[in-house]
Amino acid sequence: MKLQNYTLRYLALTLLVVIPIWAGIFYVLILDEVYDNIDDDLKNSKIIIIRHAFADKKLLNSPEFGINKFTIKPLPKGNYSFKDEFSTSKEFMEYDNDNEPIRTLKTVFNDDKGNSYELIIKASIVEEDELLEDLFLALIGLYVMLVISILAVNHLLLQKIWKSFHTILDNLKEIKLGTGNKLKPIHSPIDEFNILAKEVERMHNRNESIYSSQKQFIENASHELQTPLAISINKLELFAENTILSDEQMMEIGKITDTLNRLTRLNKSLLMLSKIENQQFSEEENINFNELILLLIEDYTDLADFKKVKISVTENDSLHFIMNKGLAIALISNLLKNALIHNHHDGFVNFIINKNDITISNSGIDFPLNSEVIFSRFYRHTTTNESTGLGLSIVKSIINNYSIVVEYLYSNKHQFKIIFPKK
Amino acid sequence: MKILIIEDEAGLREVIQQSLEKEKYIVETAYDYISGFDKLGAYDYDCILIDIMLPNGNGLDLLQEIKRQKKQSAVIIISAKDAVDDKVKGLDLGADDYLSKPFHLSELHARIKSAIRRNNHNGDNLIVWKNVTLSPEQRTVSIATKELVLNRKEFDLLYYFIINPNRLINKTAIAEYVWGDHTDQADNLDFVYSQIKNLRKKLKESNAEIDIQAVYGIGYKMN
Repeated sequence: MKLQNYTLRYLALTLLVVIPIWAGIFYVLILDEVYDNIDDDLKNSKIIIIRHAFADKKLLNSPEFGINKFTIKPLPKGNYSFKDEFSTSKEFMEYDNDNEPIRTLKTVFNDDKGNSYELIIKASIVEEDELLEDLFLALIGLYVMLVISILAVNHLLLQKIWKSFHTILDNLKEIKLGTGNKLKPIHSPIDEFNILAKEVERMHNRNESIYSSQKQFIENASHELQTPLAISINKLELFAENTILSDEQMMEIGKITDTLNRLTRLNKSLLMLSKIENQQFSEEENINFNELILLLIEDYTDLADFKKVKISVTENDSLHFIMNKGLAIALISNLLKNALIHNHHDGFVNFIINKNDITISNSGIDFPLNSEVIFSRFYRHTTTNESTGLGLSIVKSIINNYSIVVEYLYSNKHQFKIIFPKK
Repeated sequence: MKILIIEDEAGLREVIQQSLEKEKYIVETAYDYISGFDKLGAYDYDCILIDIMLPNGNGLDLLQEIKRQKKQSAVIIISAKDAVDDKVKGLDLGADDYLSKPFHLSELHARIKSAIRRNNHNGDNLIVWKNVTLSPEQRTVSIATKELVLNRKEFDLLYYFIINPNRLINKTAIAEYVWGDHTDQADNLDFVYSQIKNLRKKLKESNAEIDIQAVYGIGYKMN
């Protein structure tokens, strides 16, 4: 769920609780204020009426409400409390044709002769149910308007603010070390996003420089190893040539030379890997993979014949792809070599070429390889010290450069399927 | 035949020198750009081996100097950098070959010989060994006067032996020369062995006076 919808959901729920609570308190306070006001008014009327009654004795006998909003009735002699009594009741009102709430003040006063009179004053007050109803409607209106305005603010304002955040996200998604991609710049009015963008960029630059110095290190180390290797191999060769040695001694020198040759291959594969990753194979051309595969198979015929492995090709379609020729050769020949080496006598290697994919399958050991790790550097499922353990890593880094996909499958035979991106 | 080696690594310089002197070449050496430059001005060489990375200068600049002086020498670049760019640049500047370190001495000899041969343009480029005559351009072999038909790989094998007579040749060097890096991992020994067995059989059937011997553990030697 997007952040803005998420906050909106919680805001809407919170408002749904907060607004009724506020409304309840508001209602009680308002009503209290209204009653207070009316009561004050009634008390004021009482003072005026009593003053008038003293001046005009006729008023002392007005037992009916009539147009007046009060009655004065003489009381029999006795001891009365002069306290004001307030009460609320309902009374029929012609105008509304309904019972309406009335506030009544009932009190007793004595005239100058000491006779007691009962004074009742009425005032119409707020209709609570209607007030509640109105308040309820107004509140629903308020709630809807609040939610709509939050939604609008979220969509318009927040979207604008979050735009830079999304740019940061896009930047992060597109980070690919070693490509030297620059991050898109952020211009946000929000400090946090600017800081975030700056930190992301710093982190990216740091990673990029660590990555490239590591690549550089591998490349330099491999280069630096070439000359000492050359000296060792050549000195041994010359030594074996110039000295009369026994068969055993020759054998030992042969073993040392083999080991040095292995080191040389390892070193060359490492160099190849870093060159692929440094994208030093930039020249591209349209490669016809059908032709390339047939050509490479011819190169490997001697080895295949020697191992008694039968190579066949099924061409369902012709496959063209634009890439570096050296890398195309390395891709196919590493897979082919792999299929030949991890094969057995009287085994087979088969290529199936389709419009957008090539499957190379071969006989070999009777159980599937661990597809998680076969492309990792220096992974070897056998202990043959003849293999460098880098062939499939080279395949992997080539395909990574061209968005090609490689899959490993096992169904009684080992299958590598390379799927080219559709044009 | 005079050869100049311009290489800063003393160990490598010595071993190349010793190996070339065994072939009866006259060898001069230089250890950096300046000494290389001096030697270039003073003498003429049939072949010059130049390392690209040199103290106080670049081998490619020396190559340009050789071409500027219109020297007839064959030039082979030897470099620890197996970089495509350097290779292309070197060959564009007029180098005859590019050899990346590390290499086998037999490979170096083969490269030097073919570079000098190509550089001389003197028509008769036949290589003769006893009763075997080999034409690298025509890719034909004749024993005495009779032609021997070999396939491409067999020819390459024989050529490699004939160009490296009396030298101990590592089986990996043979495999790399004839089959490229395709055989770089598996079964080197057995594979090369079976290929050489076929060649020997053909040579023997046509009475070639060539004896290719297996050297236990290392490779082969022709004498």
